[in-house]
Amino acid sequence: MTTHPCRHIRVVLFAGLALGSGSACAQVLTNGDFETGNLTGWTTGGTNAAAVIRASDITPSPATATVPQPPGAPATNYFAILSNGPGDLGGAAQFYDANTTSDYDLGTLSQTITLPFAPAVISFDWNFPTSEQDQGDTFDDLFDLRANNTQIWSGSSCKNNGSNYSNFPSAPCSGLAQNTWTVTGAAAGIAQNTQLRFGIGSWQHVCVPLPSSLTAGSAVTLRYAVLDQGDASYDSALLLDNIRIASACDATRNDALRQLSNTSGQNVTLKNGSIVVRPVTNTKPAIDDSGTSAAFISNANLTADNPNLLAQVFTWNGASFARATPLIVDATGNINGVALSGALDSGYKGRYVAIAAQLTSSGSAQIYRYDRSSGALSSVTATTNCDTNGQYALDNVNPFISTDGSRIAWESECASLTGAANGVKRVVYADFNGTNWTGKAPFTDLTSCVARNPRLNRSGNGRYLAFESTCNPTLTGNTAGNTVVFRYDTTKTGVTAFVQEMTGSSTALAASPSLDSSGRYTLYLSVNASSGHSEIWRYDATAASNTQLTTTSTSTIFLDVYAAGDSTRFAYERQDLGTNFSEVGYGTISGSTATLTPVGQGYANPLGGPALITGARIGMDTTTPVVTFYSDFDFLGTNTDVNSELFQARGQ
Amino acid sequence: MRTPFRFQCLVRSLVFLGAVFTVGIAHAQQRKLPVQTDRYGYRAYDSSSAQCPAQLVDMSSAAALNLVAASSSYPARDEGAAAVPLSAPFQLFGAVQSALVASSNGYLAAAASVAAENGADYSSACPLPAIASNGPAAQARILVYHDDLSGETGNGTMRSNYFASCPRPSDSGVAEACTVVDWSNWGKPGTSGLSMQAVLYHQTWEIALQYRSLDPSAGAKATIGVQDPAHGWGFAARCGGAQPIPAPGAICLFDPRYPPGSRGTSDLLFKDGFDGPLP
Repeated sequence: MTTHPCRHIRVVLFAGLALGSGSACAQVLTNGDFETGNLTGWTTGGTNAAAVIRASDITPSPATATVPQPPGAPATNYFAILSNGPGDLGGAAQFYDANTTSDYDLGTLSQTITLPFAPAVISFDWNFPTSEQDQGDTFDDLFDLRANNTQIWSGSSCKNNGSNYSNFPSAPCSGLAQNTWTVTGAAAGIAQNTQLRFGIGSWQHVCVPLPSSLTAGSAVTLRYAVLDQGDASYDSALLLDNIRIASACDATRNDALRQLSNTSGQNVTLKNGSIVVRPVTNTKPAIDDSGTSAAFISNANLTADNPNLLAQVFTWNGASFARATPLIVDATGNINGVALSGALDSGYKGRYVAIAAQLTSSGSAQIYRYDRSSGALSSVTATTNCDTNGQYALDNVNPFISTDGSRIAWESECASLTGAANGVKRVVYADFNGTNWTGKAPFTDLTSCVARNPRLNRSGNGRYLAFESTCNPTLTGNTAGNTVVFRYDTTKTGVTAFVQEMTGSSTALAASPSLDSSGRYTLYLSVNASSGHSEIWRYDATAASNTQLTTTSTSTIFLDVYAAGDSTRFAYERQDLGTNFSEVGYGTISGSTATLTPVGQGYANPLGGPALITGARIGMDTTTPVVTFYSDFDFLGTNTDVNSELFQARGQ
Repeated sequence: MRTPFRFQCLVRSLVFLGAVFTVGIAHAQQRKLPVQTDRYGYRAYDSSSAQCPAQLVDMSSAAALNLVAASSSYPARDEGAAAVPLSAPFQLFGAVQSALVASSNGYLAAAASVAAENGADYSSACPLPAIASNGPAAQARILVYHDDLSGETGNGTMRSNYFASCPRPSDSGVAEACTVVDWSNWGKPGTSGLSMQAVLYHQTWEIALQYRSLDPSAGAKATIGVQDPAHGWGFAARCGGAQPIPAPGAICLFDPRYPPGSRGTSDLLFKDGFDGPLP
């Protein structure tokens, strides 16, 4: 493509995203737009089925069809093709995506650069037309991008039935009927005669971070790869254009916002042969300290072992999915929530996943910890049917885990853990000594007051525990039994361990606490006395003061807040009371106020009513805020079936 | 271990404008069957090979299993199960089992009671492993002929028996005990004709799945194999009708420690420096 070489240096106004862009950009890649008309600067590998072509090298069907281009590119635009065809190129079998089916005909396209700055991102336009769109689930051709052999982006064939057999997320379908397009131009070299049975759909754009371990001056080999999964026939091709290195994703929506999951409903066979399409959802993401890894709940068939679409726990490592394999929830069970530890441990950003799940309907919901490194699942609780109304799925819920993974806090209704009566919801936590979990309760007040929403500070084992409660553990502060926020110091005992943090509002209502890494600052929601609407407040433990960070509004209410570790950023969710539209984004604290940057703004869902935009969590990828949330809105044109998907936005 | 066989080419037919053409033109894309693998290491043979002769065990005098319905919506022979306590331990994926649950839907689950596995998973899946569609459910399973099955139409029976000396000699080459679970006159709902049995050996952990006859579906949607999704392990010897099910015939699954002809001695390759049984 022949547009300006570095579009990051500009000011963009779009949909409320960050306005100014000061990101650096450099022509560190040679021939990233392929406008030389050849592969100058690039090296092919594997089957060597890579070339630079243009639309005239492709014969569409019908012949009057137009070969799509990246946005704004002319029909004469050059782009790269990396094909796993035509047919069988003789590439050796391998297990590239670690599922159980062999992958063939590896083709690669790579370039080694010297990174001029760090942190850095790579952005590019891409397309993955595939002949496998209507084929069996196991024929899930795949592709990825690696930086010094660390996978940073991946994908696989779109399937008409919504399946995703590869562990790599599905690419969008072409949106075209089955009509074979053929790469006929001689310029395609080995890739000539690649057949694309569903033509070529719209181009996509992505911006992904390079590994944070890279420093300025590092030599980085960027390698795109494509493979044929399940056999060596039925071609697919990765098309690439406008590959750039920059210091940050720019502020345009399709650069800063990325759809992590791309799932759709699948056909499920019911008793006696009838078939229904069952919708899938991807919800409740939890993130590591960098915000780039996530654990979440999904009933999609993301790893090929969930064809019956039952909700399970999955993780996202920045490029591909994995399932918490030892934990299987049956058709009658339930998963309440997950939490991800924060630290980089054994190569995992967020090695440990805390899970609240009822494996089957007859049992209590229990707390588990899954170790992504060893694959081990340990049971934190072993309670028996505590909820007095028989809702055992509520027995142990809403977990939160420390950065090092050694401490988990959660809500329990079990007398054996809380010291209160069965059915009374309280906050408890447990510590792992390497062998066993030891449960503890911050207080054992025997009244019927409740405590909810535990959050640990994101450092080490989480010394400080914040929660909301109608109890009065300080014995003096909450005699009225209002819902207020407390911070508990786990190194102390008795009344002195507690600080009642919420004093900022005359209505004495505070909830949804969230701590920074140090534990000094607690963000929470509280009602502004004049407007009667919830705003975001901050308690400073050093100054023992409460401050309303957001500007008082009579038209919106805040529904959630989640603190980043750096003490200055947070993710939020708020709702417009006039339209009922939701918005998620991140805030930046300066002094006693916060500036809000929306990343997912509310619109009407095509199916009617406001779109679901919720569950925002924030981490800091070095200095870049990364917000992950879930939504049924089609922000990027890649969620046309409006099911609930995971999205991730990178700030400036 | 990867399945030793490689590929089988299929010639695909296309229907175009009412005419049927056989693909044979230049550049036409031809599908090759995927290679199924099992990370645990089960190895499968069928009765067309010397490693897995069919020898049906007479179960006519064995005790009938008393199936328990999974719900009030369907009869027990349609959606039900029975616990099968084992007289000797059996190992599935290396895990010791003292009991199994036999399902009306053609599988054995690693559970001790119908409270832990109700047998109501009527959704066959391919590839394996696959998380079961029922609940309560045990995920480690032997899929004898997993599909939406019923014994109602054929007034079918399920039986099990333990044999201290198995009437069907194991394919390890030594005499050993076995437990047999048998489905007779079973089939897809509204049909019958499926008669089959699982022979589980208590020393070498071989699984011999034997088929006297099939129902009219001939296994078009049935899955045969073993799975343990909790470890990410699974092996489908047959699924989706891609390969015919031998009937009468057998499919044998061998634990990696006891391949055919092991004579009951664990064969751990090069464990002691030699490719053969450990001393």
